[in-house]
Amino acid sequence: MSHTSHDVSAVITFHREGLLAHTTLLSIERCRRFAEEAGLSVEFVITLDNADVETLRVVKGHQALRPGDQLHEVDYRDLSTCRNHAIQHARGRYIGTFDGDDYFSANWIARCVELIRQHGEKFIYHPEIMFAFGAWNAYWWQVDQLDEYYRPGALLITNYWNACAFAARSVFERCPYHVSRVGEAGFGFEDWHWNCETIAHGFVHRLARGTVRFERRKHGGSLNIAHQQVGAVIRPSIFFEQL
Amino acid sequence: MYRVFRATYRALDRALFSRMPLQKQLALKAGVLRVARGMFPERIQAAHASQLVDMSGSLSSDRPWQPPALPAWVKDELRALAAIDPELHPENEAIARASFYSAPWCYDQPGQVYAQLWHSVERPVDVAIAVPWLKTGGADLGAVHVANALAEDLDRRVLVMATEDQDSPWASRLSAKVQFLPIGRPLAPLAPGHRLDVLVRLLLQLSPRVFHIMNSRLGWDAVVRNGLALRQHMRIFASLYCDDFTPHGVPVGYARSYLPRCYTMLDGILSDNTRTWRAWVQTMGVPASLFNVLPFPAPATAAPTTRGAGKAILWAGRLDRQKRPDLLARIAAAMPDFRFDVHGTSVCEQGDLDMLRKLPNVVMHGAYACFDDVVKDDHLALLYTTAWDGMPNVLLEAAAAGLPVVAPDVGGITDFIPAADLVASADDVPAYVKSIRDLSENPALRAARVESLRIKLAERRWEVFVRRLAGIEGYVA
Repeated sequence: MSHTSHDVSAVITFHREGLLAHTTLLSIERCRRFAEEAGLSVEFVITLDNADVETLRVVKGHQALRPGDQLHEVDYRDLSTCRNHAIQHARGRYIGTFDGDDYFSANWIARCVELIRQHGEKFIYHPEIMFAFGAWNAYWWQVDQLDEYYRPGALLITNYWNACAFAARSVFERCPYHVSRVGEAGFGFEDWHWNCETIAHGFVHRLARGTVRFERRKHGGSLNIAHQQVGAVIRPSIFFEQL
Repeated sequence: MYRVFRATYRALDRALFSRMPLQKQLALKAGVLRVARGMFPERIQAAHASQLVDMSGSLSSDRPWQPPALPAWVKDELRALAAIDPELHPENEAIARASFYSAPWCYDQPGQVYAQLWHSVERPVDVAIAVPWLKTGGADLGAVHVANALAEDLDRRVLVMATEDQDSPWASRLSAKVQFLPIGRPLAPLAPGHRLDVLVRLLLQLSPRVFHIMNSRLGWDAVVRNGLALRQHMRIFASLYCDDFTPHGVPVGYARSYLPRCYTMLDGILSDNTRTWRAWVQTMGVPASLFNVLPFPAPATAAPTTRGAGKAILWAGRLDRQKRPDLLARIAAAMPDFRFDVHGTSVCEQGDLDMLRKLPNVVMHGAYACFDDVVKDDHLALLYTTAWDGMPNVLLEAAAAGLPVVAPDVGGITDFIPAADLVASADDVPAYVKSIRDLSENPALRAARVESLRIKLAERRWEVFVRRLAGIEGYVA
């Protein structure tokens, strides 16, 4: 376990985003500056997993990077392992996970910290609204585990919360992400599995009201689509023994 | 289909539902919503029945529920982010057209069914067997034998799941040590994909050492879709007996439908005979090393009695196209001096049995529960007619009852009866007639045939069956 020197570690995973990594980092920097205005310190912990030359160029030379930020070039070829790697090196009390091609509302980091400090570290936060853009343009409200829409049984067929989550570092240490290896083992949707595991361990998924994630929907090539195409399922989880 | 459902609903709503009192309307529409979600889980947008009701009590279908608009603060964020990525500007056509997506967040019926089944199973499970049902039939009997041998003789914790929404009267034949779970009924209201979701989750969470598909379509579908994931936690076996054939002679069945798609996910295939599966090796190219021969055991009956040889023939089985009732009728018509006792239920068109019913020497007895009950002392032999087969169990039952068998050289029948004692061509009426008359006119020949079958039966003792089952690589050990 690494020591705590920041309020927040923004765990950002890149592999082959190319120029998209540029705008992503600009948007996360926007969240960092907003958080800093609220008195929070934020570090970037970036993994470059088997990244291509263009992604390496864009990320390593990015204007948003600061001397304290961490860059880890790794060759896991697996999102879960990258996140776990970054979390091991994270020095923030709280961790937010970010994908390499999505955007958030500026208040995302600050609002999550405010809510965890107010309600406690057993809560995991997700954006209130998802806005998909690109190949599909749509918006929807996510589900708060303490609201009427939440049904535990629905998690058998539905992932309530998208990949990016915000919680105390201790949550991620207690419930690390599990490797998917969809092509080799048929398992996928590591975030769905993580959501189930964390609920089974007593954590509660809530919405950070007034926040939004802008999720890029590609015409092809995304991990999510790859998982859907091969009919991947999530690994066994103790959540389904408690249902 | 969905459009028909929606149009029907709207018509009913205008004419009937919307005129009901509010509470009644809410309850009714909650039911409609539940059914609609089961049938079209991806199409249903409304999350609550209240969204289908105009609370003022006026007609609702003409003024459908309106989705919530994108909040102004999200538009503000889009505008701000457009400085980083202009694609996100709220006035851009694609962004401005973004619509509300009503995810089926509250649809949890598959999860409820899963939870009900999960809590019904005594865990852990060593072997999970998927059958369509357990009722009259050779494959059903085979499944009972396998489950009972595993539980009683090999000390394995066995779960048998019946995956179709049908009764399973033969579940009573399972050992008390075997768990039987009729999952077909609770799964029936779910969409096909969600039935798979439930079965696959159940298997993954149970993680038996072995998952064995015995004629369960849902089981095969689970392996096609999620075989790779299942294989990480269990070995996968399937039982296959023989092809079926269309009226045009095209081979069909589970082997043809599923083996090409998922044989690489299987650890082994069990067949009841040494012959039929070779066609799949030769025509589809699946590896012969996958196949294991597991002959089913002889019925546990008393030692055969020496019966009189009268002028009566027994025919017992399911009256369908495969069992050739037309051929039976032609044989009976050629032997008016013999009585033909025909036992079994009919799944033929009525017309297909007309010829049989019109023959004065044919007695149609209908369904039977126990083979021994239909054998009479004057039965000369069991006549078995079939167009295709594995190794039919009724031949074992006849042998155990002391009856010789007149049957064609089809499928795996030669595993039990030498080819020389069979009718070479399945269509050859004179050959059947000659074979019957030979038995009638030559008591020594008949006695030799009965003795030959008795010796073959001894090779199918229960202990031999258990030993063979235990010897299948990766299945028990």
